Amino acid sequence: MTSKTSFFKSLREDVRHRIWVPALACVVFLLGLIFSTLTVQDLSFQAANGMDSYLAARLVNQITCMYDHQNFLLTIVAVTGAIICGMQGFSYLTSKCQLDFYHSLPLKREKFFLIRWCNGVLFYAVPAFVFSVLSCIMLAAFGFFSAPVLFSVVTGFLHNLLIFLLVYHSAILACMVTGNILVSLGLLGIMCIYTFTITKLVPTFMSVYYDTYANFSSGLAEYLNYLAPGWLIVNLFNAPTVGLYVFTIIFVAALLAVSVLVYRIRSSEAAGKAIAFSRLRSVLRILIVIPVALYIGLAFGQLAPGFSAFWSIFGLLVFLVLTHAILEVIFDFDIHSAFHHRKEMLACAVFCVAFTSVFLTDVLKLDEQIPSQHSVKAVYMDLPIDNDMSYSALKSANYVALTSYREEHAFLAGDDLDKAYDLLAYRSAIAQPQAEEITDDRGEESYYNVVNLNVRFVKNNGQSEYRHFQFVLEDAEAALGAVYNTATYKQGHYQILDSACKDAFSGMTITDSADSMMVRSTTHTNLFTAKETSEFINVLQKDVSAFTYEQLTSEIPIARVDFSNEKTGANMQYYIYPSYTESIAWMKGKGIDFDSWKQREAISLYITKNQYEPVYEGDTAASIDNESAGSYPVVITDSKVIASIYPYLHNEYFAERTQFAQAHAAIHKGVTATITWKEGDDQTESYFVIDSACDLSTYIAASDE
Amino acid sequence: MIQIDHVSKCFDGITAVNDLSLTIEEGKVFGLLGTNGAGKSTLLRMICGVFRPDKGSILSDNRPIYENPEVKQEIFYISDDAYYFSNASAEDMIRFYQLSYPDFQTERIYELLDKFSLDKKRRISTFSKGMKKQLSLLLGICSGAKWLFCDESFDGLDPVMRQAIKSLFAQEMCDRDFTPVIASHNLRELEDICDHVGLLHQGGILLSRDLEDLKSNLHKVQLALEGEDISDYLRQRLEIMNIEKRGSLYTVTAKGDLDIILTVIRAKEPVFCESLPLSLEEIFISETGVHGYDIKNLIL
Repeated sequence: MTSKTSFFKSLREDVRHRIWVPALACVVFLLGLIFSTLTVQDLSFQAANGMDSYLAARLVNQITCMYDHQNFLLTIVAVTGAIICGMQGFSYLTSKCQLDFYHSLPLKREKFFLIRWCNGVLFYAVPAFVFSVLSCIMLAAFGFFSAPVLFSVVTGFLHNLLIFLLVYHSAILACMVTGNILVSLGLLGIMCIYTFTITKLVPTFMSVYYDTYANFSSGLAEYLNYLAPGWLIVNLFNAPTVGLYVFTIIFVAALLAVSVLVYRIRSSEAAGKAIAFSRLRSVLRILIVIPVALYIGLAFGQLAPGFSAFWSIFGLLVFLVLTHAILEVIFDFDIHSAFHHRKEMLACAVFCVAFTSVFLTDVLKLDEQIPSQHSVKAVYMDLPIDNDMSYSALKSANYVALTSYREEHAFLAGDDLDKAYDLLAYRSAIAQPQAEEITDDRGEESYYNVVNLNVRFVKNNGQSEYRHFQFVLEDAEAALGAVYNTATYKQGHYQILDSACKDAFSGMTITDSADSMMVRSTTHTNLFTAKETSEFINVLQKDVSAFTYEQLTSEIPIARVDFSNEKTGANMQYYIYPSYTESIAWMKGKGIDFDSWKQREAISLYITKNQYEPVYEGDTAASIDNESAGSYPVVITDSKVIASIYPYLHNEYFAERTQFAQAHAAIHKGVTATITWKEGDDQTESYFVIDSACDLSTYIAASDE
Repeated sequence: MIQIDHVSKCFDGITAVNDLSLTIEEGKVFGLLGTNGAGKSTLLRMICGVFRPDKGSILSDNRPIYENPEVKQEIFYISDDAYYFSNASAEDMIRFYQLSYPDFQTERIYELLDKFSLDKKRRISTFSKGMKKQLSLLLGICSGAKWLFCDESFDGLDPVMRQAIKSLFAQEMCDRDFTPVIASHNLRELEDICDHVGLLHQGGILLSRDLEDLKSNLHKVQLALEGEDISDYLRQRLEIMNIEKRGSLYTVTAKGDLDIILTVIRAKEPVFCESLPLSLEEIFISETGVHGYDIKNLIL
């Protein structure tokens, strides 16, 4: 009998003794085939009921998603199958009697490894391949088979096979290093996420202990993520790239090579032991105990009100001892061995406390320092201005987080870096004592004189450092304004300045100061065409580009524009300020007058006043002294008197558009004006705040009550 | 011939086999005897290629055994806790062994299964302990391997089966090149089968000799003598393994030529003096007693 013949016979014989594994795989894929057939059948019913090109494209998209890398269930099957095949195939290494049996046979151990490995791969790959082929036949029968669908089936099969091999080889390596199935499973779980948790350790500590650090990048250490199979699987699922596939293939091959190497040096007497290599025990204990203790210590600290360093250290030490003892017990299968390596435990404790102390005391002064100007090529900033405007994905209904967008687009570089560093010179790591907590007339708390700033430093080497600072507004305002007025900054701060916006929306609606949706005519209810919207965006971009910080903080918007796209679901909103002369003129040309609400028939004016205290030292906004509080509410029904207050009225929500802009807004704090309008047989109301230039005593005197 | 040369093996600081050298010749039934924890099973596993020795070498006809499939085809190992595939039958095991042992005697195994009333299609997991041992031995005999290593395989066999297996061994040894090596601490069952014994104690070899030589070199003499205690006299003149004195009755176990031993004893003119047969058990006890092993713990 030739070596090749005997190898295939051995493969067949091995299958016979492990028949439940391929049987299980066949059952799983058969169920998958049944479910996918039912789904495709449902889709074919939809197609049969009439289909336009949009629906056809959606159906093809649904079918390709069923088979390509984004099918979550197929990924789960690959991962689970890999664990079963790996653990079951090499579980003989954990049994002394099985090892006596197999290793006494006239068979090279590498050959036996190969037989087990081959069959493990075939147990998954063959049913998966058959499933793919039968799926193609089924899709053809329903009339959905096409090149894109075939591509998705093929790439999906290969993608999931790669994921299978990644987990399979990891499971095999775990079996080689251990001598007990449960310990193997535990080690496999740790292997899948270990390097990822390590790379996150320092950033997590920085974000907890340091006030100014957010989303710290570990730099080169981030590459360690690639050694975490769990991280690879998630990224292959969410955002596969050619580079990632290539790396994963290499990593899979490396895992197999290491497994074979470990297999060769693994002694048979390791069967039944928790860890096959006695010298590895200390290494594993230290590698596991330290990060576990550090993370749990951090969690403990956060459980206490505020953050407690005492509880953090306490939790760290308790769980360090506990974890170390548990690992000792697991490694020796003996509860009496819980504290055998006290010196090692002590060394880990000293390291962990020292590590935590570095962050606790900020001995390296990292929280106070920022990258030097010459080491940075750009500074991206998220100025807390216009924070209630939205950012859109433009091609879909997805929102983009405000900070994320600005940290990607709004930057200063080159000579403008001076402005960034001028502003950063006012930074503070903690909230200033002057920040007084006040409650406004709606019962909401706010800090008005301290503003937050998110910054991303892009260093000359390309690395990003994310920081978070606070500023006392009064001190930093000039520098803040200088940054805002910089063209490159503003280009990134306002998404509307992105040229892609011109074609992103199909219509817009306008809301005026009276909080009413404006109409162009009695026959045109708000609608603008896509072309008009694009034209307006072009005009608006000019006004926004020319808008200065001084105007921003002194003006209150007179309208709001909501852009939308029915097909993609994208939407965005922007305010119209009095200085937006071109935008206002364009709207007037289309029959939209932002002051037209003043022509409505007003029935009554109702002015109320709530208790108000100056929000911060230096708050110079005019306010009604408490002595005249008894004069309210003011009720006026004379239309001429009502009309006289119009120039002083602002939309109350427009006036609150930005945290510190509200502090700037020159309005009578705590005073609200309500106008009741006649709308045919009905009445409506609008709510306003009143400009501080308005002499309210006139209206108090004219009050009907 | 299997040559074991200065072999040592440690497990987590515990020495199981310590600088052991031994030769196992073909054509003789080799009994590997030993106290509890002597290292018998460890030695067998090293010989069969399951464990790699920490030091030393194990060769079969000057060829290393470890990871050498060609040599291992000549070896069949039956461990004390034999493994069978789950839900496998005797037929399944036969099919498996046929792949590993090219000289597997398929017809013969079916004949033997029939003779020993073992159902070839029945699941082995439903066999009794004795039946499993029988099956292991039959598979080993029919494997065609030159060396059959049995680790306490005779435990659990009834006396009839034990005799049947012994006669099978004898038949195989006559028909072909076949050498069984049996590790056990059950001396009684090995006494009538082994030609050569190796005695292990605390990881080392105490002796390795043909059984007849062993018996011929050690003698038990019983004598009755009144008067003086001649124990010291005998110790000075003979290589005494053991002297028991009950009143005037002496039981002396000594190494050496029987005639010389009797001559020395008769010089003291005992009332009577006769040589008694020694069992393997008595030989074992005597030899290990010299090395301080507490015989009270040895239950046979």
